[in-house]
Order: sequence, then structure tokens, then C-alpha cells
Amino acid sequence: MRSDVNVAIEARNLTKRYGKFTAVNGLNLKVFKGEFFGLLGPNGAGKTTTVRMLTGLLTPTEGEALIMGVNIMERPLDVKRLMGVVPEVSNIYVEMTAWENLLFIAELYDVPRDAAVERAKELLEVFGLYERRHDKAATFSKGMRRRLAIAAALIHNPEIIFLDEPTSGLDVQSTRIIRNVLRKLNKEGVTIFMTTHFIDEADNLCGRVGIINRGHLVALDKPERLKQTIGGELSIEVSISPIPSLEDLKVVGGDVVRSGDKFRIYTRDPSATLSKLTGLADLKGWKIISVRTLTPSLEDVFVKLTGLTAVDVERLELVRPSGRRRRR
Amino acid sequence: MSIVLTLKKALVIAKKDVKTYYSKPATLFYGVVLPFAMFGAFLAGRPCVTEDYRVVGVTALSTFFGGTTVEAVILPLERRTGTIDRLLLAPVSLKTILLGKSLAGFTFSFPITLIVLSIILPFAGFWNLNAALLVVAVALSVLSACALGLAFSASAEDIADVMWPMNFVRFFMIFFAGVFMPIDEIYAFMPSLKFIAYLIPLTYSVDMIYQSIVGVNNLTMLATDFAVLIFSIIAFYYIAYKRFAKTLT
Ligand SMILES: Nc1ncnc2c1ncn2[C@@H]1O[C@H](COP(=O)(O)OP(=O)(O)O)[C@@H](O)[C@H]1O
Ligand SMILES: [Mg+2]
Repeated sequence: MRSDVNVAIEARNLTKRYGKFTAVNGLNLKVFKGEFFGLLGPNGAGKTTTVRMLTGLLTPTEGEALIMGVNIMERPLDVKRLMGVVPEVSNIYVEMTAWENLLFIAELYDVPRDAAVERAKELLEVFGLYERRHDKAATFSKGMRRRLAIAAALIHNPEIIFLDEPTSGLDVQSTRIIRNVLRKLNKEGVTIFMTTHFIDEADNLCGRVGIINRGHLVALDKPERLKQTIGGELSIEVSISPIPSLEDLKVVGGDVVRSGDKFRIYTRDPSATLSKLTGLADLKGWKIISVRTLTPSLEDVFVKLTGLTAVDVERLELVRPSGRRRRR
Repeated sequence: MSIVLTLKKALVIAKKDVKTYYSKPATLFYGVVLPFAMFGAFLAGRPCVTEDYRVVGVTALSTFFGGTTVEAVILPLERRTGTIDRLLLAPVSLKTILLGKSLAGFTFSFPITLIVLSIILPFAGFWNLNAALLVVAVALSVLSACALGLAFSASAEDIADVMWPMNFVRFFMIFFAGVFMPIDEIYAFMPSLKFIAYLIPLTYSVDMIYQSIVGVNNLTMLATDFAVLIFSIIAFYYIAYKRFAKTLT
């Protein structure tokens, strides 16, 4: 079975079982060359397990992982040259300096010394670490370590990059640098496979998104298309003073969800819902402070497909505290 | 991958390990302080065996402790910090990684033993020293110890998980391999148990070091020493490889 030449990464019925528990269940997936692909899912969904199988760190129980059409288990050394991998934990050598880390990895990948020196310099500058290059990584903050780990994954100019939750738990500055670098690399033609549990990150960065939940791939498409699939469902965001109870608002019909000091009312007919709402407000003596109609967000798709509620989404920190609509 | 490339990569890994792990307390204690202390204590102790035998014993002990310890420390540390993934993700085979790890142990224990020997021998006497043979004996002994340490640590997450079982085995080996006194004396009360000594690679290290310092006295045994040590290196290395590969499932 020959694989399409445009496919960079392919999972065929990829499955991982731990005893009776299935961490990843029959995953089928193609990522095309030059794509920025995002695997989105809550904690424990199977994202890391998937990446570890795709990168040869974990043997699948069933199925296979192909990189550029080559089974990674059969020809690991050839395949590994093509890819750079940033694991979930920044696994750099903290006993070594930033510079030593990069040059060590370069040697492992047979990058000629001159090229390695030049590339290391370039990467350290891009990631804002050049001034600190001769400091041991032990003295680096979490964000700096992650940046160094990403730089290390790029030292051999890989055609494909895997990143497992690259911005999770990082400061704003590091997150911004990382996202910018990833966008730039993708523009230059590098294929990117990124996992994330941040919905907005997948939405903003990725050309195509797969949603994984309990080991199952439950959706796979462009963010825009995913939003269309749950289609007709729109929502109204209102802020009312004094803040009414959820029960009072439910009278207007549809699902009502509270987020911060605002409410979201899901509806297929916003104008009808809106007039009901104004009527209700008059009746109760509420003052409507702001109203906004919203088209479905990726978050809505996510909520729908994973069966999590919007409240879960917040509780599980699937959106950043500073993210859209979560301002308090 | 050609042998030259394999060796080159293994050296890259070993060099990194030297830079990274030699200053760790566990390595320093078991790898440097302990051999020196044992040399000191043993040489100063009450002479229940001849002086040449004591020098042989501590030499064997130094190779054995140094080699096993460094290996027991490095791999679990890499696993705990997750840096082992860096190596596993690189275009380097599992065998090369293990070779690199054993070279790291070798570059640690081999020179330390030789240094200590070159300090002691001028005081203790040279007997019928065969320097070339001694270097080979120390090298093979260290490699065998490194492979043993790797076999213990190949799948471990934690240094403590390695040290416990390994220390048990190490002390068993040291006692029954005739490190402190010749095996004939150890088994004097129970000669039928002497076969135990011949099951332990360390016994052959001791004999080879003995013959290279005190004088070649038994060529058949010397040839056996060679064969057994090389076999033990391959066997321990194989076990290490199997356990290491299993961590990927
Ligand atoms: N080595 C393992 N043994 C048993 N269960 C595991 C192992 N690794 C992961 N799991 C389980 O598999 C599921 C998926 O884990 P993971 O891929 O790490 O999820 P994610 O990266 O999406 O948070 C989790 O329920 C996790 O507990
Ligand atoms: Mg994960």
C-alpha cells in the first residue's frame, strides 16, 4: 500500500492499550506536507500517547505510524532525521548551558559543526536566549527552558515538527514568542503537528484540527468548517444588571450558560430570543447592559463533540484565564 | 550504520555524560571517594592476606564499584528528567545509546583505577608487573562492570530502584569472587561450593589482575579470564538491551 506523496504524517488504525484500558483507539489521520495541524483534547484524552507513537517513542499495540510514507517502527533512524520533537516536559540537560545543549543535539543529528554553530546562534536569538547562552539551563525559567527545548528540536532543520502542548503553563512572553516562531516556520513550509488543550490556540494557529476525546478522534476538519457543522446554533451574550439567576433567564428558552458576569443563550433564532429577553427584562425591571450575538466558536464545537459542558471547559482550564469571553 | 559512525555517536553521548553526570554526588561517592577509601582502608588494615593480594583485591573492587555505579546513576537520571527521550528521538539506535552509556562509565572508572594503581604500586612493590596486561585486565573488568550496571539500570526510573538489588548482587559477588582473599581460602570449609566463584565474572577479573601484577602463572586460566570477561560483557549488554527496548512499549 503506497502512501500519497503529499502526506507527511499518517496514522493508520493507531491504537495503544494499557491492559484493559485503551488510551488511543483506532486513530486514522493524515497530515499533509506544509500543514499546521492541531490535535485538541482535554487532559487524559490521549494526545501525548498519540505523539509518542507517531514519533517512535512508544510501540503501538495495533496499527502503524508513517512519516513521509515510511513506517517509523521499520526504519526509525531514517525517519527520525526528518523530524524535530518537543515533548510535553522540556527535557533539556539542565547541567549544561543553552549553547552546549544545542551543539550536543546537533552532533546527534550529524549537523556539521559550522552549520550547527550558525544555526544555534540564530535559534538562540529568535527565542530570546542569546544573552543567556553560556548560562546553565538550570538557571532558566520554565518558559526559557521550553524555548530552549524547541530550539533544540529545530537545530537540524527538520521538515516535520511535533510539539506536545508547547505553551501549556507558560508565561505570556514565552507563549507569544513560541507562537510567532511556529507561524513563521509553517510559512516556510515546515509541517507542524501540535497538541494542545487550549481551544483558542488550536483555532488561531492551526489550519486543521482534530478533536480527540477518551482516545477517540471525534472530529477532523478546518476550524471554520467545524464551526459550520454545528451550524444553525448561534448564541447571544448578555450582561444584565442586577445579575439575575440562571433559572429566571431560562424562561427565554434555549440553553443558558453563565460565564463570569455574563450569560450565553444558545438559540437558532437570535432575534426572537432577543425580543423575548427584552420583554422579560421590562417585566423584571432588569437593565440590559450589553448584548452581542456570537457565531459558534471552536469551543462550542468542542463542547458539543466531547460532551463536556461549558462549565467543564472552564474548570479544566481549556481556555486561558485571559482568553476570549473569559474576562472577569 | 557503519561501525565508525556508531562509535562516533556513542562517543558524543559519552562525552555529554561526562560533562553532565560526573559531578553528581552519587557518582562521586561511589565512583571516586569509595574506591580511594577502600584502597586506603584495605591497605592500612591488618594484613590477613599478602600485600600483593590486597593490591589485586582493591584494584578489582575499584573497577567493579566504579563501573557499576556510574551506569546505575546515569540512565535512571536521564529517565527521570525525561532527557532520555532526546536520545531516543535522535537518529541513534538503542545499541548506540547503550554503548555511549558504557563508554561514559569506562572513561570514569578506567582512569581512576589506573591513577590509584600508579600511586600505590611504587610503594607496594612491582612484583612481576606486566603493565600492558594490567591495562587490558583493568579495561575488561571495567567494561564488564559497566555492562552489569547497565543491565540493572536499563529500565529503571529511579536510582534507588537500581541501587537496592544491585548492592545485594554486588556484595554477594565481592564476597564469593575472592576479592578479599583467594577463593581457596574462602571455600576452605566448604570446597564443594567453590563452583559459585566460577559463576561470577568478577572472579576472572581478580585472576587476570592478579596474574598481571604478581606474574603470569597459569596461561589456561588467563585465556579463560579473557573469554569469560568478554562473554560477560556481551551477555550483560544483551540483557541491558532487552530491558531498554522494553521501555518503549
Ligand atoms: N504508561 C501508562 N500506563 C497506563 N496508562 C497510561 C500510561 N500512559 C498514559 N496512560 C493513560 O492514557 C490516557 C491518555 O494519556 P495521555 O496520552 O498522556 O493524555 P493527554 O496527553 O491527552 O493528556 C490517560 O488516561 C493516561 O492515564
Ligand atoms: Mg499530554
